[in-house]
Amino acid sequence: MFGSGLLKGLRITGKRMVGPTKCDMYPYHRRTLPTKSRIFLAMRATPDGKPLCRACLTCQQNCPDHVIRIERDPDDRERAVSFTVDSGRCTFCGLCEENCPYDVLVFTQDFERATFDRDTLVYKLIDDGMATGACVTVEPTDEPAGEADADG
Amino acid sequence: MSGHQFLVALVWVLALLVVMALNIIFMDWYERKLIGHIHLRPGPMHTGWHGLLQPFADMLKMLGKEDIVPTGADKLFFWIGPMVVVVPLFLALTVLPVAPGAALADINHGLFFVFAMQTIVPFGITLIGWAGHNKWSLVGSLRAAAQLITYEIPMLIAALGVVMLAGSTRLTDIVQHQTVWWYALKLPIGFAIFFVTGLAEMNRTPFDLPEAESELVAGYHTEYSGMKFGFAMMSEYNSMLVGSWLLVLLFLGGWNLWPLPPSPLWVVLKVYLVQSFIVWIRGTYPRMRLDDMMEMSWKYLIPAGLANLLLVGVLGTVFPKF
Amino acid sequence: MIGDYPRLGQASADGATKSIVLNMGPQHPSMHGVLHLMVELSGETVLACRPVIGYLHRGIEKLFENRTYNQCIVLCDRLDYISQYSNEWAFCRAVEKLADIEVAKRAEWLRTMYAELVRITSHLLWWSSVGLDMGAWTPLIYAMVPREHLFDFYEATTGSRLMPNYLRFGGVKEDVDPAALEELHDWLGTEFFAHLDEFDGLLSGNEIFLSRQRGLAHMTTDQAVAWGVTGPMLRATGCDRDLRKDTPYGVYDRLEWQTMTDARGDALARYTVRMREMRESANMAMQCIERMPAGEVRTRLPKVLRPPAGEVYVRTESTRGELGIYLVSDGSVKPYRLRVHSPAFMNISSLPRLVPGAHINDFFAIFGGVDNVMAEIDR
Repeated sequence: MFGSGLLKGLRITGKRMVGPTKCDMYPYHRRTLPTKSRIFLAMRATPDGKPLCRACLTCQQNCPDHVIRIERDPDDRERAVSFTVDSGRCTFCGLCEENCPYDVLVFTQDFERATFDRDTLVYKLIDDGMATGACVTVEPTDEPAGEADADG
Repeated sequence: MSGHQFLVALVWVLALLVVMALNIIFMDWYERKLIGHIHLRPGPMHTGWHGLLQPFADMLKMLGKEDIVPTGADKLFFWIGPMVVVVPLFLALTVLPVAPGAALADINHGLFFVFAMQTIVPFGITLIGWAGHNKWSLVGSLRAAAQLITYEIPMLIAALGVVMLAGSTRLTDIVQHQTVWWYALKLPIGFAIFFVTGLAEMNRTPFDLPEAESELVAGYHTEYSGMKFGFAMMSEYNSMLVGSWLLVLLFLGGWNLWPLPPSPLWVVLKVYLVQSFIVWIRGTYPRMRLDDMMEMSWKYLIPAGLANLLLVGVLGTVFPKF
Repeated sequence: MIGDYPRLGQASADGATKSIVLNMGPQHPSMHGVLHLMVELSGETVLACRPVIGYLHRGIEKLFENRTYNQCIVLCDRLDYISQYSNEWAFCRAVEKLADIEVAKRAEWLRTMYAELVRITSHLLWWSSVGLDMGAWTPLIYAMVPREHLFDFYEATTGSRLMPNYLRFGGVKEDVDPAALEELHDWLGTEFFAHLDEFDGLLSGNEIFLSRQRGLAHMTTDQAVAWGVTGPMLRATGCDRDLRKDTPYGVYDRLEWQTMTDARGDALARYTVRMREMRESANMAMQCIERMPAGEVRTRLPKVLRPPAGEVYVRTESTRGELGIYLVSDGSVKPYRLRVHSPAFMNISSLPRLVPGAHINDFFAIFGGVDNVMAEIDR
């Protein structure tokens, strides 16, 4: 019958018109994102502000876009003096986190980081050898951190 | 005209302006909420309680915009174009009654007056499109003119069926003949034709080619900004009001709701039900193609309207009390 | 000649009336990416059309040459950003063929499942853009509901909604939680098909929509093959050509499915083929989840891959057609040359040939059937 398609369309939208909405009313309702979600690059550090980074520079070499800049301590090969992340250039590919041999880098789900100033997109995870506020605090364990991951 | 009559007319004009403004304010909010719910979202929620202040925010925003006139635009037509669109529709409001005899001028040829006013609108749209000095608006306005002129004919033919039954073109008389049986029940074909052509006259989906956003940037009012754009929006809501009010008076019984006592409240209720249905259709259907639209009018609606007239004539002769 | 089409200004030179050239410019409230279309109109009829591309050119093929193979997978996501897993898979297959790497068993099933899921995602976005071109805003929102559910699945399993960087040479990055797979399987079997039925009711049966699409821009198989058109556009002319059946890869030869064709060749046929493909992809993804074997998802490879010198050309059935990756390696850690044969580039070259004589409203109906993604065309 001519018009049956039209009536069916009206019925579908009519049901939706009087039915419930499927809207996430942000900012009154914030979702928790899955833990695998790559939103904000952070680093693990001990509670007294010591970053777990061993300055092996693997993440810097693996990053395709030169996002990570590490300054190593000239006296101590396993200590990073500064660790800068340029999140404006970052593509959030996760190669740094995946290839870190000591499992130090971690992606958090902190997505409310919009700023008005482009310079604030460049942030430090290690400043002057100490962990910054952007780091994630973990409890120190007695065993040393895991060995290098053999899979590329 | 005596001073007393002049004062009454002035009060009526002010009342109609208020009605027009209230309709625009309400329909702006209502349409956005309704379309929002069709789209599984709640529509405006933050400006006022459930977004009730949203139309005022829109109005303030539009008043605050810069009124840009393009360099090559024809300044006179650019300026008076919106007026040629809005003013005739307001004049059409003056003859639409809300209770027996309760209109600014409940003239004997009320129905024809409304149609005559609706006919002026394509002039205004063509003026706007031409004055914009823009290929997009030109194409949009030519489409609008073609569409509006084509669809007036079946609209008139469908309304003629009502006139034949009521024996008068005075809108009050037409409604007074519908105390129990509405004309929508007696003339279903005419009702359907009038509704479809009314949609086309209002430039609403599925006939909203003139302002087809996804094809032409904004159709015939591409070059308008600020309050002139507000005029274009106003004209759309105005034509919706006039069209649905006319539909209610001609086919849906006006202020009659048997067995309940007649009241102007029923007019308001029915007008807004019709407008809700128009918004519902907007949320559902895609757009019709221009030549399909023309074909539908010339090949299907006009013959159907004439058949409707024939039917009315035959039935009216066979059953004198029809 | 089968490939000839009128150029801008050619038709009006012979005619009596003047035609106007309209720029459907890169900025446009229509959802087709940054494409500049110069359209010559005579009244409401389109006489000629010239697509001007390049507004999204980022030099990806050059960027490939400056990154190690592992880092290149990140770039592949951005080729056709709506069907990301297909692009990654095409590249990984090319490198695996060149370096003779074997893919883990479970990873093949996972890759196939993700490729079919992304076909669904891409076709859902296409469907909403078809609605928008026709003037119906509702399909956009309705298509986003199942799409969001799939994106939530992608985010929970691969870490990112749009740019997952999930495939690796010899497998995938990490395994997927079985509970998530099971939940997806249930959702596909029930809610997704309910969504598709709703979409069919809203648009596919709508008389206005059908009158706009039926009989429009008819393309024969000979024309399609001559113009290099592949994918759903080719299958809509009745040609049963699908790389997943002709040269199977992944686990396509172990799944039970059919290619969707439609012999009519008009815009409605292209629409129908894609709608049916969505259903078939959902069935395929469900089969993958049911029959996936347990096991490893990665192969042990050196940290930095160094494929032997040589060249390889690998073809994949992406959502838009035949995606070809031509890879030349000189034995170093970075590719020497990587050339992408993108299906959307070929499909859009059929637009100037299909469009002359059509009404301007039909122009967008035809364009919707082409389903282009500018990122793939411009690279």
